[in-house]
Amino acid sequence: MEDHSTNNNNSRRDFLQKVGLIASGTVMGGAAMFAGFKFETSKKKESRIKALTAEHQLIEVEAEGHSHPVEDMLTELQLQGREGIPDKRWVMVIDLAKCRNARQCMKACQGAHELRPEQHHINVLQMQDSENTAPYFMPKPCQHCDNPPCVSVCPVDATFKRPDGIVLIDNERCIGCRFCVAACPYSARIFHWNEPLKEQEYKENKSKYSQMIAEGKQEEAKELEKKVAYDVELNVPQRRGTISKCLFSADRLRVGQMPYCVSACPNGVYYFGDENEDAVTNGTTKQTVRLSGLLRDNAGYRLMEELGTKPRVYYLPPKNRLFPFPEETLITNEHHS
Amino acid sequence: MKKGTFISIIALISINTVLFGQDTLWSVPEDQLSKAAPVMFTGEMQKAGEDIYAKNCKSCHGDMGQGNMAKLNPLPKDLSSLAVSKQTDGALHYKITNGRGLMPVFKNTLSGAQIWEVISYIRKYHKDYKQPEPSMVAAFGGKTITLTMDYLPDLKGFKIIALGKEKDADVPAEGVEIALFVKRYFGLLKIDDSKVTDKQGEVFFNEPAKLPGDKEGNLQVIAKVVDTEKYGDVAYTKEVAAGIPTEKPSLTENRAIWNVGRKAPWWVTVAYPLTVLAVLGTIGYIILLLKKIYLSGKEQSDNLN
Amino acid sequence: MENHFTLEQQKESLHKITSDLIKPIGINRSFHLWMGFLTLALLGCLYAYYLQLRDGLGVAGIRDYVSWGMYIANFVFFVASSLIGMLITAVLGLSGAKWISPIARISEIIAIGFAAIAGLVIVSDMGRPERLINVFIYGRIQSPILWDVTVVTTYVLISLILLYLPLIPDLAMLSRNQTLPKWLRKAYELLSINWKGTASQYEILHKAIKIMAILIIPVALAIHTVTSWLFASTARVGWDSTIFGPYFVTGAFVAGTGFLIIAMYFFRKNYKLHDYITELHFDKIGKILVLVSLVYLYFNINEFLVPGYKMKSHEAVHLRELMAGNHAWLFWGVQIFGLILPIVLLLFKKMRKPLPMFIISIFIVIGSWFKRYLIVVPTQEHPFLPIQNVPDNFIYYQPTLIEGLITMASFILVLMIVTILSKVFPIIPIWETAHEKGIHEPEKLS
Repeated sequence: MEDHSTNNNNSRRDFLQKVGLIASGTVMGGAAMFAGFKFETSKKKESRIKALTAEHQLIEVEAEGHSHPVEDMLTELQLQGREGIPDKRWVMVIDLAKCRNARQCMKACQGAHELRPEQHHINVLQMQDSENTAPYFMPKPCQHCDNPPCVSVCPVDATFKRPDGIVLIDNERCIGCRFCVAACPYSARIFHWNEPLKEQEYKENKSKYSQMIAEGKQEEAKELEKKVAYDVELNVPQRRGTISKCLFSADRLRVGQMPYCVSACPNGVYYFGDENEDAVTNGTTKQTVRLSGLLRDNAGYRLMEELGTKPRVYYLPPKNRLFPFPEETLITNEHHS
Repeated sequence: MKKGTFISIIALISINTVLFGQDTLWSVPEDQLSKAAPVMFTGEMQKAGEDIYAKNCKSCHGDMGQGNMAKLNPLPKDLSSLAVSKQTDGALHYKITNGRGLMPVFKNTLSGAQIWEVISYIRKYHKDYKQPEPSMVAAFGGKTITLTMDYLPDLKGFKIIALGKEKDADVPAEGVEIALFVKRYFGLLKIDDSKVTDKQGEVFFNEPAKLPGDKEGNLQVIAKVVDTEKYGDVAYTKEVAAGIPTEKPSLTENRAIWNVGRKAPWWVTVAYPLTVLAVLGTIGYIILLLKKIYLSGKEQSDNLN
Repeated sequence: MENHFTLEQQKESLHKITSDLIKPIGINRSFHLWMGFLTLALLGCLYAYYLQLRDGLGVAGIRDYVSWGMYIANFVFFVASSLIGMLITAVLGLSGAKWISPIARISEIIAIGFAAIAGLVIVSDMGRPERLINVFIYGRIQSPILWDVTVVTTYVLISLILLYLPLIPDLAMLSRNQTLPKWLRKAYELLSINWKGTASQYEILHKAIKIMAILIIPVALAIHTVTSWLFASTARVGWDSTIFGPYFVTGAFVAGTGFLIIAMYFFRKNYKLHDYITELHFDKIGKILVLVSLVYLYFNINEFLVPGYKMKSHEAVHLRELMAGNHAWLFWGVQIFGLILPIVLLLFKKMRKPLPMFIISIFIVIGSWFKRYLIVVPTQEHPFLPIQNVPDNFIYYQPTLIEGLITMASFILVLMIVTILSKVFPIIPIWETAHEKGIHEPEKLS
């Protein structure tokens, strides 16, 4: 009888011990996490200063006291790239009626982003939706979705969405898991399977740069710094084993210029602008029109609306084209569903 | 059948002009060919033209006479060459204004007067060039026009007054074509069609319908004289609260699956660490049990000793 | 079944059990040969990985469109195979099936081997393996990859504990066995944490095992469900499925059971354990294999029949490619030889004997591997938008030799883990076997 009761006590004590352990662990963990978030959000920008790292890269650090290690590792360009341009919501409109496959957009893009001929941030596709519908050319950049599946799955926040709508990649952080490639329904992402196009040039510049720093030639080094420093808004220099994709030419937008592809188009296919201003400007004619009116009058649409990705790229249907669709054989030979 | 042939003929023509027509004819309308600059070119104009050239033309056409043009197809022309120098001023002005193929349209980026400045710069390199008689019309004796603008909230529009100087006195400028724009990030958004001033030198524009402004609804409104060749670049800019106050939140403000870890949805933020802690807590309890086994074994061997 | 043996009989019986089960332990000549062979093979494969590190992932056949290939298929296969530990120790163990005790440890060892190496397999697929640390520094808790990392490490940990807990009494017993080398006995003693075999110790141990057996069920379900979410969380045709979690879990039981049977056959033959792993065990495991295969077949029918009935445009291309297109031979081979035929054959009692089951299991395991390949690769060959303006090798995936060698390395590592664990620990629990033979307090007898 007595034995029985002690047993009972024992198991009750065990139980309480167990609950206590789990509960205290949970509370402690939760508190630590909460404190971490608080710390991160409470930090003010003013308290940050710029400093040069051992690798001669500009970084921002806390002005006083010890700083948060995570954000310290970001260079100035990376921070600026993550913050975006305030009060903007970039939007692109592609008029399919005007595209005649000149491919100047692809060329300009590959030049700016240092890509190989088979690597496309923007790709002009030859489309035909069904047997009896008309074929047409469709330039396809990254859609910069407002519900971006690629960003959702990224394990390390290497690809991210900015407040102004652009989806960027930080190739200094990317681990090369390619989950984003698998998740993107628009096949917008590419991967550097081998050495990027200008890797050698970049390496040479980098060693030259370190030499200049060692010799104290600060002025000359400053010039070269632009070529050596990684610009997250241009994704250059490209890195082996990391992802790249269309960036809406975030570096150009910052200085008030339109994306490389948009400016390069000879046929007036692209409009680019700010949804908040309800205005887009044609890259070829530089004519500015109202976004809402353009989409309303031409029955603008977005790709694969049913997936709920909410793209920031709109298309105007390929109606009233005044040119034929050459190379129809390519359509029968396509590899998609 | 007939329709098909027709379409393919049209198609052939258009494809020819688009892809191969660049080197053949670039037809300039008859009346534009003889068009002349409104004033005689000056050194000042050439200097301004050089700057515009460097910004807008050099990337493709290269330096004058250097042959360092961009490797495009068709190859951009060296603008100091004979093929260019033999063309009339009017033809050059028309081509720069309207563009074709890879040559961009400049009518929305450069004013008519600026295009004349570029031409004046190009002409510097044409040895045998002789400028034709300027076309300057004696509107207001070629004297400057000034614009002022008032926003009339009650009338939901803008009143623009054009004044011309005559004998040191401002007089209303009648018959001046005015266009109204709103500044946007990449260019100027035209509001309504351009209008001509009345006898009072006034013209009225309705405000743009539901155009987003800044936080206070302010818009930068710009009135411009259309005929810049005649009057020069005359413009008047004013910030008025004629827009819809717009303060859209940043797109990354809300918690979402796609947002950064700090802005994960609540259910993830709570469920993930709780689950992990529960499992680790149980494992911790198992380690406690193992410790108990160890202690009870030790107790027993101590008893035996 | 009450056993009333005399003390003498019990002693004798225990002696036989102990010596039978301890015999394979220890490092002998054949172990050296076998490990030497594995090491050499591994070195060859590691050279392939060195080439990949040097030249980039481009040495593999994966490209921008099919960007997940053999590595990811293999990862899924490894996670799948590791689930067997949970099926045997937890599901069957908790349901009171006493007959599993001789094969529980084998299944646990298989689970540890595959789960531990699965983590390495995923690293071999990374373009920047040296940045693995970023997952811990910058980890986004919304990413299924982060969940997968968490849950696979947890599963390895729990499996290790579940291997260790029932080992404790055996370790104590082994530490007193004079036939073993001294250093090994010392290590056993250290690991046996003062095990005396008292009633209170047994009580705590049973409790700990029970808690772990319960805990491993959700964790094991989680590892394979989360792995399936790597695919199901995308909008891609062939992956965008709500049944992917259970589909993967049941498929995992098929693959894992296949491996368990192969291991049972091998250990029974080589470690001379015919008295412990009997034909009865094969018969029962054979029935379980039929059961899990039938459930898996049911999920397969769901996964293909439902979209096949509707033939939505993108799904139709995918299904045609699988069933009548480029992948048809592989698809039907896997379904028939890896699933349907084994089910039919195992329905006959004659087939549920060790050797036939061993052969059937080899088919099942190979089928399971290619099944993962068919889940991972074909979907990526048919994106929503056409693949254009890229070289031919971007369009169809062609695995390379280097990729094959690196995949081989992962299997070699699993074999090494299984070999080592089965050489330093008794592959069959001694005390549990003794208990079942009616020897209730083996500690007092030895």
